[in-house]
Amino acid sequence: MGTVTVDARVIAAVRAWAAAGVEGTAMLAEQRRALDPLLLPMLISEAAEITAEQLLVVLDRPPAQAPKKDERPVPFLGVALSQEQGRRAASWLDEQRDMARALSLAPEAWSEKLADGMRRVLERLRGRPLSSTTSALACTVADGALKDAARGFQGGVDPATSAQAGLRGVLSARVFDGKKP
Amino acid sequence: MKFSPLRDIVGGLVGAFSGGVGLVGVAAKKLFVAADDSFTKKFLIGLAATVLTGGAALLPYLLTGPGQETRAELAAARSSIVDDRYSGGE
Repeated sequence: MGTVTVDARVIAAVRAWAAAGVEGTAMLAEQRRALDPLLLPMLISEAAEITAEQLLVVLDRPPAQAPKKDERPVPFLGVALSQEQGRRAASWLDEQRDMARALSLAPEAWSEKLADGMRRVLERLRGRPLSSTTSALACTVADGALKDAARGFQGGVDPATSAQAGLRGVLSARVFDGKKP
Repeated sequence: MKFSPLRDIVGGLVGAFSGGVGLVGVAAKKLFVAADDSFTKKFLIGLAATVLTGGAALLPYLLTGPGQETRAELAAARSSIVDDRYSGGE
């Protein structure tokens, strides 16, 4: 993809991360430690683009069950998601805290990388059909909305008092009519 | 190890019993639990199946904790993206 040639060692690290399933972040941390430090920016860039695309893929997936009639939309970074999409988005967001740690980055730095990654994904997917919700969310992330939510990765932020755009949506996305993500 | 018909028969019966009650747990989960049900509901149905089967039915619930399905979905999406991304050769 693109014009950048990805080093085979980075590809191997990314493949190991992907193959590790739900334990992926632990594997990514292991790969990062073993990788030549000069290749670290490339690994971070690849991981950011893949992770950004991952959000679009899981949100665009057809619902496992039809939404209930009285279902309340879940606000996430200013976009109204279905309860099921909200659960997926919150699970994705939960993973970002571990991703930042695995790549030895501050949450704010990782959110910036994700925004860069999302911009590249949008460029690459141009012309491909995405639902309007997913498309709107992708643009919001690409515009850096996750930067505002980065403190949420670290936890300890009171949603009632936080004025950060997006963060309230992120935190309320964890409620889902009383269900856990 | 020396051949012992009694030990092997008992072992086989225990294995069959464990497999059978384990299946009760899986069946209860399929029948009464949806992926997005609350943790409390999953826990209570798991507890009932566990009591009914003397503990062996607990296994499916331990294997599928809350949020596990969503995390697995994320992992599957990542795997598929990575496969597509590097499918052109390394």
